[in-house]
Amino acid sequence: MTRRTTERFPATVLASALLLLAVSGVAAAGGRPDPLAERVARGQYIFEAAGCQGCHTDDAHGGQRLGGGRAITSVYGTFYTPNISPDPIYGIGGWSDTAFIRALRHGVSPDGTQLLPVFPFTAYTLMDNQDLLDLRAYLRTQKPVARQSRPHDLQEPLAFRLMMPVWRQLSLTVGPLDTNPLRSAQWNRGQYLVRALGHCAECHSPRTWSGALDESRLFSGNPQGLNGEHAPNITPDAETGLGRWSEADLLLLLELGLRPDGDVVGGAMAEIVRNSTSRLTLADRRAIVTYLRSLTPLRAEPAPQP
Amino acid sequence: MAGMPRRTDSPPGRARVLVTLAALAGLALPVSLAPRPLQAGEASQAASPEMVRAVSHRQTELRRLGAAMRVIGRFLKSEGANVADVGASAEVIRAVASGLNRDLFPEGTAIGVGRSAARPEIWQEWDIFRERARSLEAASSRLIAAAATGNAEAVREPIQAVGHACGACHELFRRKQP
Repeated sequence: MTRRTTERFPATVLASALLLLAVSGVAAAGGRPDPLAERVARGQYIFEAAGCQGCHTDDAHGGQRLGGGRAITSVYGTFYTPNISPDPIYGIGGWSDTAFIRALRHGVSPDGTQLLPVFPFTAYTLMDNQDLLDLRAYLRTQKPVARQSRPHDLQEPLAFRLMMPVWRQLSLTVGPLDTNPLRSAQWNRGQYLVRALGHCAECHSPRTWSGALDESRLFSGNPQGLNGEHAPNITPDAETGLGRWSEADLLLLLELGLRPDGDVVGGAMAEIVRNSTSRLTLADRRAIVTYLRSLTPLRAEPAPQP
Repeated sequence: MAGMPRRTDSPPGRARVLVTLAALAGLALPVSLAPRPLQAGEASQAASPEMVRAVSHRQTELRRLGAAMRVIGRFLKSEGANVADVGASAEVIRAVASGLNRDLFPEGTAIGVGRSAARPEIWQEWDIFRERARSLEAASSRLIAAAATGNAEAVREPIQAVGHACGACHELFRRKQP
């Protein structure tokens, strides 16, 4: 897959460059409603659907928006999310659009460092080029934060570094996501929202020994999800998943965090509902539900009792 | 991301061991992340019967809140609840929300006491906790007023506010429910 990555990379860059040219060409032609403003508005929607803000803002310590620094604890140690504000020194303001696309599509930073997969580029790689560019346009309009990104505090940083090429080989399938012509437009939209933007599988799937998603059991839950919390099975299994939930039940969870039993979800999912799924259009929430209900039901281990 | 793994001064021979360790980490380390089990005697030492009763009383109250939310959910799903039911539920929610203070959350009733799921951050960040409780109270008041008009559309926005207020508190202050 690395080989494929290398081969496809120049093509992607070329495509991005052409797209940029096309976009600026439209802008120069004028006449239309402000295309940049439209792109920024679209980018904001992508930003919310992709859930960027939650990880890249240290809410718990009053951190500035997109200034990073939020601690993400895992079995490998503590990661501190980086500053993605447009600050040219401390943030990503100095990145070219091409570098931005490379980071999300290939998980490689502008200086060639391989990004760690705590940043879900294995999902973002599936994004459309236009969505990546619009996201970039939106991020550029945000307030720069002059705050240095904090190094991660990993248990075995060297091992991590050595493992990355192996890990990429096992885990990274470079996108964008293909449309499935046998499925409806709504299903395809749902697949894109769940797999590419929402990166739902990152928490809701078990992982293999290498830390890669267990592709054979995607969405069947993870007893050790984000911050050590149990992430439930979201396949339509009747006993251990969402098989007994109606479409309306699922829509309410995405809109309000409200479960059929009247409880309201907490933890990481509460944040995702607040920042992400409640801000989507109803059509997009329906698309997510359509896709989730189409998954193969998988049985999962029951949740651990506290 | 620029601050990738730091260099360590490991002798080369150690590197292979570390890779193996990293490989095993997925199996071995999750255990260390699980909430620390209580040592024998710890719970009883921390929890007086009075505190355990306080937790149980609190959970009964919050279950009333959950039952009211369930009715609201049935309204939103058109499963046999109407605007009047929403109004009655909002009254219950406001009543419970107005009690989310030291009466329901006395100190010494955090996780580890009875079946408590209350994170210790509640007492460490008491002002934030109270602010969120008040926002639930305010949202439920708005919902009561909207439901009184009998307009099924008017209740939608305040219902959202109530739901998000519930989630905002659970996000920070309640241990993940299995």
